[in-house]
Amino acid sequence: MTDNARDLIKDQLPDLASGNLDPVRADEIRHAIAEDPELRREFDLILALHEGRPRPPLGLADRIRAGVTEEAPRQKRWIGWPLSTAAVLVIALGTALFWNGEGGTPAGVPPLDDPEAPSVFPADDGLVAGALLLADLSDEEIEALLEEIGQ
Amino acid sequence: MDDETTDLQLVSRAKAGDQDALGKLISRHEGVAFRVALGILRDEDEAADAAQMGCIKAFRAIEGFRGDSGFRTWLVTIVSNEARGLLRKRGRRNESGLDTSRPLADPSTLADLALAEDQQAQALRELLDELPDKQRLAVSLRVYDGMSFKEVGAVIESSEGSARVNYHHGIRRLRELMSHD
Repeated sequence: MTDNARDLIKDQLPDLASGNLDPVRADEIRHAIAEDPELRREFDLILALHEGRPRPPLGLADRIRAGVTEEAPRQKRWIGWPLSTAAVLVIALGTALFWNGEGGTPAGVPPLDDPEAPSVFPADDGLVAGALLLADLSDEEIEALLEEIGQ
Repeated sequence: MDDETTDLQLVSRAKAGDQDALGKLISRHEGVAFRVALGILRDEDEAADAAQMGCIKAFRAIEGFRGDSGFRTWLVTIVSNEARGLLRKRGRRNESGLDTSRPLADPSTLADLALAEDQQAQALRELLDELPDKQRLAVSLRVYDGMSFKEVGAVIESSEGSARVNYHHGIRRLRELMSHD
């Protein structure tokens, strides 16, 4: 056997120990081991190491699975920021559509310098001059609003 | 492996939301994740923590796995980074956390035979623990989980050739230690 062939066999002893060699190659290596005491000793060591390898603690896979699953609701919430950004754009669009009167005043709303004008500050109905307050909307309401306008 | 479905097939299904595929990936790789972390941390409790945290991070980010490397290589790279982070945090480099106090076994009974085999395995792991870090990792990754030298190199942060050299030096050193025992 050449040195290169022997080195390659030594490289593959762990594959033989773990059963990851094709049958033909496995037989070749077993034959080489049977004829070479030094290879035999090295394979015995590797086999003992492989069979005595540490096992993960019970329940590790379950804890990993639980940890991955727990993250799922948080992943849903991360879409809140682009959703909020879209909501701001919607509000801006709504405001632009609302302001369709001359001189920059909304239709039907008296000029601000009119002392007799009714207040446009929000009442308890959650509206400002007819527009919804962003802060009062839930994520679901914003999502529904965006669906409505085709976002 | 009793399931012939490849890692790539399972990853593809997991990305599509298949929880069963995700579970199979986790079960298939929890062992190697634990052993990689143990090779770095040399403490079973800390290794379990690092394997758990590393795997959770990896599986949460599975969308980012592009298949440039094998899935196992990608996963153990993340786990080994987690283990190294834990090592730096704890500030330890060469302590062994393995419990060496075991009751003596009488090999004449079946139960004691199992215990004797367990003690032999433990004794081998303790000898492995005496190797320098890269040799220890190269041997454990290659022998425990059949990683290629290329995969070993990715974990121990060296070339494939260097991983191979570390492996063979480690095996030679182990044999020397065994002959002195």
